[in-house]
Amino acid sequence: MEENKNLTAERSLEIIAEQIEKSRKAVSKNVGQSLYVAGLCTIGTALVIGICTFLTNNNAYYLLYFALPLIIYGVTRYVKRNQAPAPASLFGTMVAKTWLTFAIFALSFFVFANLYDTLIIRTESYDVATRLMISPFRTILLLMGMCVTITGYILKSRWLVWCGIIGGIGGFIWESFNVTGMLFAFSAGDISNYCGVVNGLVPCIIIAIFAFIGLTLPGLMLKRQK
Amino acid sequence: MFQPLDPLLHSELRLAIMSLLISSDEAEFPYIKEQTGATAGNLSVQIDKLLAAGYIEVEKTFKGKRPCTLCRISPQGRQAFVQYVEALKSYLEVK
Repeated sequence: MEENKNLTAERSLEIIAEQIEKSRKAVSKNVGQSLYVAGLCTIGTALVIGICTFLTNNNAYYLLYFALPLIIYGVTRYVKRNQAPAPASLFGTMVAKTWLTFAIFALSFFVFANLYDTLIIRTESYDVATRLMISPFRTILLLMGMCVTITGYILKSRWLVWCGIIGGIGGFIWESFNVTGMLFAFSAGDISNYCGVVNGLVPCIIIAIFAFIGLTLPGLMLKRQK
Repeated sequence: MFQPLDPLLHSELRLAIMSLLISSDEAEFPYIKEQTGATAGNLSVQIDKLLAAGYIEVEKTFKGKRPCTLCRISPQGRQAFVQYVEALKSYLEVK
């Protein structure tokens, strides 16, 4: 940027608007990259858990979801190691706190739902237990969609808002009506033969699909904005 | 009537630095350099001028083993920036 002694009022305003916009875009790109990485890590973890559960028929692999925040943190730091850091701004702080809130609520709910389900399975008959059990994934998907939507509003990104709404509500409905199970039943006929496979794989497939819609896709769009 | 423009802010690079800092809590030197496209030397000189006027605060720390210069706008700088924008408006309204 050259020194210009004959700076006009219009040019001054242009510089101010340009720099404020650059600052907002830098935060958006930074958030975009974080969403993209978080999405890929979530998809990867969900697939690993799904495959392990499928091969061993052991739901204990679901506990690996607790490692997800650490995986995302580590991979994000690695990806951003050589980049100039984005400035600390009100937008960035609001987005970071939104996701921190999501992490606290999602992990707490996941722990509560698993403890509750374990208790119900041990104390009630199979029929009663299956009706009383809580599926944490649909609620977590709803919370995730809500956070993506709020992030979209903060960053004024229409794509992010829509991806959040579709990812969150779509995931909730999908999981509530067990659409994956129905698809399995539709393509494979009698579902009882595949019950174990479906029960182990369905949440992982849903998490992977909606992490792509709600995190990876909008993250990629924010990253690529000009 | 035209309001006088702050000569310290009425410079492309200094105005760009202040505009970047007004929308951020704080920013690191490499980020400001990247966004303004200025050379490190020129940017350093302009940051020193803004610091001397009390418009910004500069904190020199370390990030691991690397030195890190953090810049943030001071309350005085924020006020000067607001007055500068108000003064600009008076020029634009007349036109």
